[in-house]
Amino acid sequence: MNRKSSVELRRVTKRFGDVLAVDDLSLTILEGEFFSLLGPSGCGKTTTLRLIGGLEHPDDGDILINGEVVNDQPPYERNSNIVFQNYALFPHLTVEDNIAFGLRLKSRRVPEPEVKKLVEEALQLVHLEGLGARRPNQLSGGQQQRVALARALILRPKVLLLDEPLGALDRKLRKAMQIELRRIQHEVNITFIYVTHDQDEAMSMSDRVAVMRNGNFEQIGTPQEIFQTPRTRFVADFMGASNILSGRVIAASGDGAQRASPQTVQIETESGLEIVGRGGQDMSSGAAVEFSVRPESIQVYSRDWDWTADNKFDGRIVGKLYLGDVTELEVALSENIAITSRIQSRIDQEFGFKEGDRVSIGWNADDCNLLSD
Amino acid sequence: MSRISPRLLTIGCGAVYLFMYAPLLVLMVFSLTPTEYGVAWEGFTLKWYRAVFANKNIQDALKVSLIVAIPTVLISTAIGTITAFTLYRYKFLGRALYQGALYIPLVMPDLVIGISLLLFYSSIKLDLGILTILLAHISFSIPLTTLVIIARMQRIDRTLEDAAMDLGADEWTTMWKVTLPLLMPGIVAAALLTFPWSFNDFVITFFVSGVGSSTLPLRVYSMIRLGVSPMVNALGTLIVVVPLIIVIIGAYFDRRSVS
Repeated sequence: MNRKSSVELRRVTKRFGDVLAVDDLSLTILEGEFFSLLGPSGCGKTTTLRLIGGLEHPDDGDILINGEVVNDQPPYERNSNIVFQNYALFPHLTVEDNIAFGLRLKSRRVPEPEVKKLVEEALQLVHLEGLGARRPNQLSGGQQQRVALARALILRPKVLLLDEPLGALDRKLRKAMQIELRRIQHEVNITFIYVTHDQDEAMSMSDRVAVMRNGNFEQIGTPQEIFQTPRTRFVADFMGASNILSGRVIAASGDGAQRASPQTVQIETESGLEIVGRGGQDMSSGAAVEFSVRPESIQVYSRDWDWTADNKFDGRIVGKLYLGDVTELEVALSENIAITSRIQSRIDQEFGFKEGDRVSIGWNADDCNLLSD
Repeated sequence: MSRISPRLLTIGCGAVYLFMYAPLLVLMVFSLTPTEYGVAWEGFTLKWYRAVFANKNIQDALKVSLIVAIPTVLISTAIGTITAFTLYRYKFLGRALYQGALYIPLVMPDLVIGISLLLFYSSIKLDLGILTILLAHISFSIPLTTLVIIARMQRIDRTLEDAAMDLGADEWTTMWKVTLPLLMPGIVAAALLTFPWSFNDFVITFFVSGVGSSTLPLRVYSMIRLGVSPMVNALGTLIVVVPLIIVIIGAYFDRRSVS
């Protein structure tokens, strides 16, 4: 399918004084896409959103919406709307008047009966029928969030920009709103650009995710790509793949001859561990490499258990963290190397693991993910 | 035991209020008794109030006071709003200096303000009268209105204006539909605080008023010079009670603006 670009950034840079908030970003977001900007606070994700919305203007580069350069357009001329982190509902207006705010502006000339009808529809879309006469401070956080959404969506923007809209909600409500947002996006078929620091949120809703750090994109891809094959140490760490092994290649498949892709390589880590990994290409002996291994890929059994894995080591449990459905075990292989494993709590209970237990742990070559940058 | 007993606090608090309001109570009590001279209660009467309302001089003075106070409120509140907006919203050279300078008239002795205004008006050959009183009142009210409105402005969430612009409102529409309505409680509070500020002023007005332009406080002062009449008690009671009511309304609006 050949979809048109909805929002395009071309080498966009934004400075605040000496701080480089957004550093030479280029990106194309497609029409109807649910795109997330994911990163820790201060990574420039909100600034990027405000640049697209027109609340900030770039120092360098171009911003395009629907193929048109909008650099100099003020926010009120842009075909984008923002759902703010704190909702920014007008406290002096009722819910209905908040939602109708944009439609009632003189520049739009929407006749009043039409406004009434559209507001009613918007209230239905976000399941707030009958609350139109209330003031924002008479609503719960979740309801306020829906009002903010309705107020932006009623204008049928080409792009909806959402700045951590679920940040202030409790966990259960957040889950429900994630599903709700996805439903609404399918229903209205508008490009959503979603800023969040919560990887679960980004994973569960997005078509594509851009992981940001220091005003740069670390990696852009589908949730699966970002989760399963993070390209940098930062992304791996941010996505919770906390085992990062760095070392040198001591043997590579097809060394000196024809090379298979992905390659199977044997590496020796800095701490003296010998590991078999798979991934990448064109590696030869002596090359420095880094692998990440997700904690849930690492299996832990008692020493006398009969099992095999490409990489299998003896270790000792030095930490245990019960997380409900899963349990995290920290296993020391030697003085200075510890591996984090996440196993089903059910399995943990079967074995009755406790701190100090001597165990064997292991993972397969395919579970190693080569970090390329 | 080091606990402070609530009873002790109540008694202490009562003593403080008595100290503050006892003189006023004495004034009010003697405005309701026919005693001509001296301080003894000789039964209830409203005759001094009737005398106040029948007195042409007092009526004229009240008229002057209102002719000054009402435009003072309107003009200084409007200027205060614009000044507050400029000082709070825009960054420019010397902004901190301008903002700091607002406090100077508030702490400067009235005597100094009065003398300097008098000097100023005579140096530009402006005849003393209602106009000079009005100009003086506006000038000393602007710092008050500006500071009250800035205080309100600091409580307005800036993202509300971002939101309005994002929804399609240009700068002017945003100001009319979002900023000003949110600022309104502060503007009303400023106006209601300015009224007694102008109405009660004596010292500065004393310097800048001319013949036939006595405000009410000046009139009271000249009445006392001819001997204390209980009519002054009645007038004093009225001057205290009426602005008090206005201040209470002002405080109510300011409190409402917080919630």
